[in-house]
Amino acid sequence: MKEKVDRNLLQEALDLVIHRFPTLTVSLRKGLFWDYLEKNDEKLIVQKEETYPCAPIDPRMNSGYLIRVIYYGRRISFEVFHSLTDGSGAMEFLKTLAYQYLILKGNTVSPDGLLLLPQDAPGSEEVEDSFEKYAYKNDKRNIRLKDGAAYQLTGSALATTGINIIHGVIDGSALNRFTKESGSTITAFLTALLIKVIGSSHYSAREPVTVALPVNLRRQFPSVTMRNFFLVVNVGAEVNDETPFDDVLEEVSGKLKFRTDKKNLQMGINRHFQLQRGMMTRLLPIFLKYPAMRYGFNHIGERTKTMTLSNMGNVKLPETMAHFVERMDIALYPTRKSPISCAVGTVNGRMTITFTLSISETDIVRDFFKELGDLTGLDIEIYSNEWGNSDE
Amino acid sequence: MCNGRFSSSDPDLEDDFYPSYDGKVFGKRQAPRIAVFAGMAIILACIFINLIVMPHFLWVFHATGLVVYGIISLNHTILSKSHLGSKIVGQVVSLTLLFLLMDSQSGFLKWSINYAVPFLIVAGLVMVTLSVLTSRLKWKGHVSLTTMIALSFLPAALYFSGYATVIWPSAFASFYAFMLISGFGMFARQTVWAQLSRRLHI
Repeated sequence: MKEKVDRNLLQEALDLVIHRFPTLTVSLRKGLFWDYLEKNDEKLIVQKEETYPCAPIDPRMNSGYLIRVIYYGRRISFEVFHSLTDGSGAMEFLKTLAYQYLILKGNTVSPDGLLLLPQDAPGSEEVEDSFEKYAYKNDKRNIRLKDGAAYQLTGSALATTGINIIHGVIDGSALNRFTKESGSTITAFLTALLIKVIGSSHYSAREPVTVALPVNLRRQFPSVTMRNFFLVVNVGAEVNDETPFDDVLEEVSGKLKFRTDKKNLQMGINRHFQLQRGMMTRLLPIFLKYPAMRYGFNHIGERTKTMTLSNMGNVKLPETMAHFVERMDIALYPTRKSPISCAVGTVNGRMTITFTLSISETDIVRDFFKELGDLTGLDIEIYSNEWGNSDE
Repeated sequence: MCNGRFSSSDPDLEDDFYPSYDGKVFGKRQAPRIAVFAGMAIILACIFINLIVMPHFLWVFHATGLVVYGIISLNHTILSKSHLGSKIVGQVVSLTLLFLLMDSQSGFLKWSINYAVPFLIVAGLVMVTLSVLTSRLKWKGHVSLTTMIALSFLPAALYFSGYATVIWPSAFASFYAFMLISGFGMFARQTVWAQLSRRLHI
């Protein structure tokens, strides 16, 4: 925001908007075959930020909620357990919260049809399982695009468990014009740049550098669900120091276009539906499901990617609300096998590229921003939570 | 990115983008591990001293029972964030075992199975009932209540198998459990089925 956040007004705004989002106001309960979500009527208290972003949410210390609203200085943050919603759902919540907060501050803002209003009742289509809606139920083929092992990033774990966050703020409109001129997209451009940077200076193995890209399915399969509705596509390339960036960009653009083709995404939706609804999956007790899922996550999902890049795109705010907002950023939690993640968010033409690291080495991030500045000629403002400096 | 600070940061100046982490501790709580380690050290020391000083009288069993009970009480009842029902069950079970151990090590006069254990179980059952009645009936409440009801028939089983010799404390525990099952079945049936269907859906 452009002004310091008022805690009391933020709490008041949260109290007013929270029941507009029934898929988020839940607690996790243990079942025999599945864990399930149960409505939570407790009051959710806003918290002043004291620890690092994406710190584990302990439901017992958070009135049973799997979401957290945090403030610090001029920033309002919303953190959410990924089982409840994806980036689009989280963004809808944050937009409505900020809208209500600005109204309580005495500002005149109008929604302009760009956000969910706190006083409206949630529609049934907002809580639907869109995978079930769009899946071809009879498509039993388990067609999977085979992804081989990818180059894995390694580094020295931070001495204190936490996340080092590095943000780079750039003129998003100018970057968009630049990538359009080169016949590409911002996502393809940033993906290619990451692959090039990692491949050039950190690459000694034979595996390709692969970036996992979450794809918002709502763009091709119309849905207003607040539940998860995304798929992850992997895009990789084998590069070295001598591979020209334009070649990497061309390869990445081609692969990204193919993988995000509607036909391929439909196959992904079908596969997701079959996996979830398969009799074997359903009848397996939860204490066996968890190790199986953990194994699948670590040895199939994590092994096939070098890192994740999530581009939320340009978030549109009502004109009367936009000038109260300075910028937005998104932070993805890094994992043990994927210790660096990247997320991109744009509002009011300002793009924030956020790296989250659980390792102390920052050379990839430094090289990425240096190359980005050199290639585009744009200024980049860098700031960080400086987690890790306290370890010294 | 250069492994150095971008600028000086004042923890009181909230115009910074993030709070200062200097001086904050984010480590894990060590008390439960220290308690287990200290308990094991005490037990080993007791075994050593008992075998050397007075091997004809093995008081080490009393000491071990008390130390293990102390560790369970500290880690599970006091420090743990477990459900209240499970803490009550934990106390009843560990105290029952402690009483049985002490009674058996001091000539087995049966004060434990005749009086102490039945009344302990009834006390636990009353506490679990109150916790379930005063707060919303949750799954862990059901589990604690069911475990306590099952335990309530232990004194009767001990009496009919000939170990216990006094009937009325065992009968009282069983009667209380029967009354609770009846009330539970009559008043909480709908809630129970709703909970079960949620827990067991595939």
